[in-house]
Amino acid sequence: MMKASKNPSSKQAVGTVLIALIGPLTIWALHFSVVYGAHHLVCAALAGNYVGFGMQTTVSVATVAALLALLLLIVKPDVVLRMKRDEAMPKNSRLFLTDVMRLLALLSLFGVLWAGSAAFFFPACMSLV
Amino acid sequence: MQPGDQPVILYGGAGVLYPWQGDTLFHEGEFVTNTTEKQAALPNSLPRPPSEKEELLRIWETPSGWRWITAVNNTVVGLLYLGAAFAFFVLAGLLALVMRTQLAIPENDLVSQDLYNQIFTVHGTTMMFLFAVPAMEALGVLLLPQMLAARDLPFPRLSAFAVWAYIIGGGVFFSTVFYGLAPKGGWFMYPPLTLTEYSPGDNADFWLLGIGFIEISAIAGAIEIIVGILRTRPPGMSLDKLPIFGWSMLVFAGMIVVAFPAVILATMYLEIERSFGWPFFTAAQGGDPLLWQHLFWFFGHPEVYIIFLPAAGLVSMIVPTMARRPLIGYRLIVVALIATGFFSFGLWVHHMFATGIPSLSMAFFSAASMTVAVPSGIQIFSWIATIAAAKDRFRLTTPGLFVLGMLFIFTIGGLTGIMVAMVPFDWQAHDTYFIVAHLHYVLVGGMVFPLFATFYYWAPMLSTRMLSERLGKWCFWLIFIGFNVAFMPMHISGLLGMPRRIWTYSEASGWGPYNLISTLGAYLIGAGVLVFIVDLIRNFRVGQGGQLNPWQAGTLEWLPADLYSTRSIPQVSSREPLWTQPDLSEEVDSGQHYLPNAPTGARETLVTSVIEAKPQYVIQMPGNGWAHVLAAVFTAACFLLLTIKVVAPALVCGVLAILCGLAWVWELDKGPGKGPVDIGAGIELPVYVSGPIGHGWWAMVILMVVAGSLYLSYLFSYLYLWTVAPKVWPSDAGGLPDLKWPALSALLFTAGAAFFAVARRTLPAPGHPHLGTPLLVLLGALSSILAVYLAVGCHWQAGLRPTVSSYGAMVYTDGILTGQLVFTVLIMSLFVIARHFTGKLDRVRCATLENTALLVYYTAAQALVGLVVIHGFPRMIL
Repeated sequence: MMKASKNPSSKQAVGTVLIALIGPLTIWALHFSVVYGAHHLVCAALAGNYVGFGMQTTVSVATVAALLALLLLIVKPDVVLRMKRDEAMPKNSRLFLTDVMRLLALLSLFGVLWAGSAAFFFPACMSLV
Repeated sequence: MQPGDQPVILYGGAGVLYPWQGDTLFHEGEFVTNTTEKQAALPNSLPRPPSEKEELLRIWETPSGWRWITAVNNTVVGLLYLGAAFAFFVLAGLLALVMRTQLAIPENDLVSQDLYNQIFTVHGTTMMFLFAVPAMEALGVLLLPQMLAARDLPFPRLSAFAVWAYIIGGGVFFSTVFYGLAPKGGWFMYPPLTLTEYSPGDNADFWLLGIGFIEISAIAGAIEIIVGILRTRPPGMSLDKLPIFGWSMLVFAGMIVVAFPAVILATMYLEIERSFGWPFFTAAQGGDPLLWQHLFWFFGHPEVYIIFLPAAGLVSMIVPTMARRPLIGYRLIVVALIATGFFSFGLWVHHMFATGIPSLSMAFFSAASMTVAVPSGIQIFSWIATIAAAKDRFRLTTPGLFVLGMLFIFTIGGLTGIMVAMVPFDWQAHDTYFIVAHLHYVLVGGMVFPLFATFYYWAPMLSTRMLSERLGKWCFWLIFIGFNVAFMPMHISGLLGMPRRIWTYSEASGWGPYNLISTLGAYLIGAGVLVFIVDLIRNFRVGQGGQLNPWQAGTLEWLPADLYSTRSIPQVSSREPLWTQPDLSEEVDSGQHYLPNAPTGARETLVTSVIEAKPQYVIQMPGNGWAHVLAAVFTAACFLLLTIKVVAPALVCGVLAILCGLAWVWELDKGPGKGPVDIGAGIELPVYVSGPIGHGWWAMVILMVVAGSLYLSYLFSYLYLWTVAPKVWPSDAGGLPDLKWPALSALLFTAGAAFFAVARRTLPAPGHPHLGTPLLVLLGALSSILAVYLAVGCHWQAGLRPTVSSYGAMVYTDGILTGQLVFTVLIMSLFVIARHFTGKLDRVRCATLENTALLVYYTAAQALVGLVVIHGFPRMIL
């Protein structure tokens, strides 16, 4: 029979949900913001021979960092979810949140890889129109 | 509880401050919430007192006659919302028929060019802002409480306010097309075309103020939906058992919270530039028309998914029922919904591929545009798999047909979407009828077909009679064939070079036959919609006593229900409880589950925990009333009068709207006096809580996310304009205010927040008011006012004017954004003080102060960031 929740709306519970549901895609969003924002700033404010190299380096570093973070979510979800400490959480909820986070991380991984690889195929600041 | 039961202490109850709140007034040991370990199979036993049901009916009664407009019950408000949205769909559809008639033959002169411009603008705007998003919010209001077996959503008056504001504002906006006052700039209203120089008169202002206002209404609805889904699920409905429609509405509402502030800010900029000449979009003074495109499409592209995702959720509910088996890939669909919601924010620049931005930037957005196809594909394949694995055969009922039609049409729209996500193809197709075809395949396939499926599928939940299957199939085939006849040829006319938004064309263009076919198709669609309206008139009769669960669905909205929703709130153990708990309907209707009565003697529902949906407390909800209706009327009047520049009456209406709003919220904080209450299974719950467990606290946090999103859009604008026109930024520190002024302002903002933090700790015990708390609250509000005055005034003293350059405009906009928050803080502070002096604020009954304090903390944080940017960034780039 259902019991009233003992620690019903703890910050840990809300944090767990937030990390599982929006954590991986937040990494994608941050990566996207960094590469687009850096590109816009570099092309608007800087000039010179090293712009292309600088842009590629920036995108590469941001992409590798995002990929590592996403791989961590896929391979070691417990590290970030910390659900083992929440003994009150039943197995089905724990599995559900873990699976959702891993799958979201997988999708995000492709999103990051796809956007990040663009830096190696296009000139840094040239407009084609 | 029965005599002799041993209570088990769980946690503190009414007004308890939990350990994480860091207060020592109450401790874990002090409790008013008890439970007993009962071994009974169901939470409540039979027989139930016969008066329970009568009392529920009395409490949840819908007012009769003209007082009906005061109703807040979700079934009444939701149906009104949906009816209004459908009315706008029909009206905008009629405008489409006028356009198609005009375009049927070359060189036609049925309507003038000017009227045609107004018609396509009102058509697009109405379909996007007055039909699609409101229809989905309406379904959320209507269906979610039933699917969650809640008595209502947690803020019923907020829903009612949103609906009335939308109906009044939308009605006035649409009517402008009848007297030549409608906007002409397209539903996206690009400047410089929409600046005063090129669009004189009030036409564009009706769009800017009207749509901005309706978006505020949409945000109100979104807050309601998020809190409702996360906090009013039935016991046992853990997140992994939430119906897919709940997930889709959660993502939908989250996207509204993040996306809509961007366009609200953009409409603010454009209206301010039109009215006061602040040059946000005027290139000669450091502005940039592309700033509008960035902000508009940061909202506008997610808007497509804001419309599509709830519709996809509806499909995910209908498909399993028609297939008579659970949905295949539940988790994958949840993942797909969330991923689509996020990825959709990375697509906005694909509407700007022809604006000359660097190719690498376009590649980032092209990649994101293709990435979003993956989660969309997951949903499509999941539906196909479920249909293919149907028990016996997938039932080709009217809802089933509309779902199949949706799969066909939306998939074609998705494929052309992949085509236009490729930059070279987009350059060819940009601004041609190919795009018109693509967007209609996506939006009509992705939203209108599921909506008609919804009408036919869920009508029996509200009506005593089902809609006609015969007429429904006529409706489907007419719309399906008509749609493809109308829009398939547009791909060709577009590839032949026919531009969008032209009011006529020459015979020599060769576009005539394609347009004639498109027009015939449009009339077929109209005939299909007419058949549906006939069906509604013949068969839709709101009331109880219709066929119960005619489709043999598995979810809770098909439980027996009345005005109060379900008689008792069920204990759920699966995603399709009606399939796995065969006696559930009888048990719920006889009152054997939770809260079979109204222990507080008023409207209430159960609040459960976020992940596991364990009972936490009982919300005391407000009933019918006038205040929220009048607040909506005066708010709409304020915005509309401002549009036609009748300033003094507009301000009077604004003041009246605030007063009505205060009268409305005065009744919300009912205090802990009627608790704790027994909900069954030996569980006693408080009827009043404060802090992070309370639904009001959640709503305030979401409101802060809205404000944060607005401010992030502002910071983006500031930095963007600097990159576009760095020359209008200060070239030496001499023109900047002395740093002592922002420092003093920052100190005052911090002090304001500190006053509120201390005020919370000085709250008196019930019945022992003292002057310390209201004094601190007043000091906190006054500090914030003085701080914002200094923050703005120092620039004025330094000689900066907002009309001279985009830099000045951005600096003063920061003052406006912080100033409006401080104004809200002042109103809320006066409200808190009034509650103190009327004995409605103490250390137990403290939700109003806590929520006001949250806003104060946010305001201080935003103001500090603003001061650093406004005073630090120009010095940094010197």
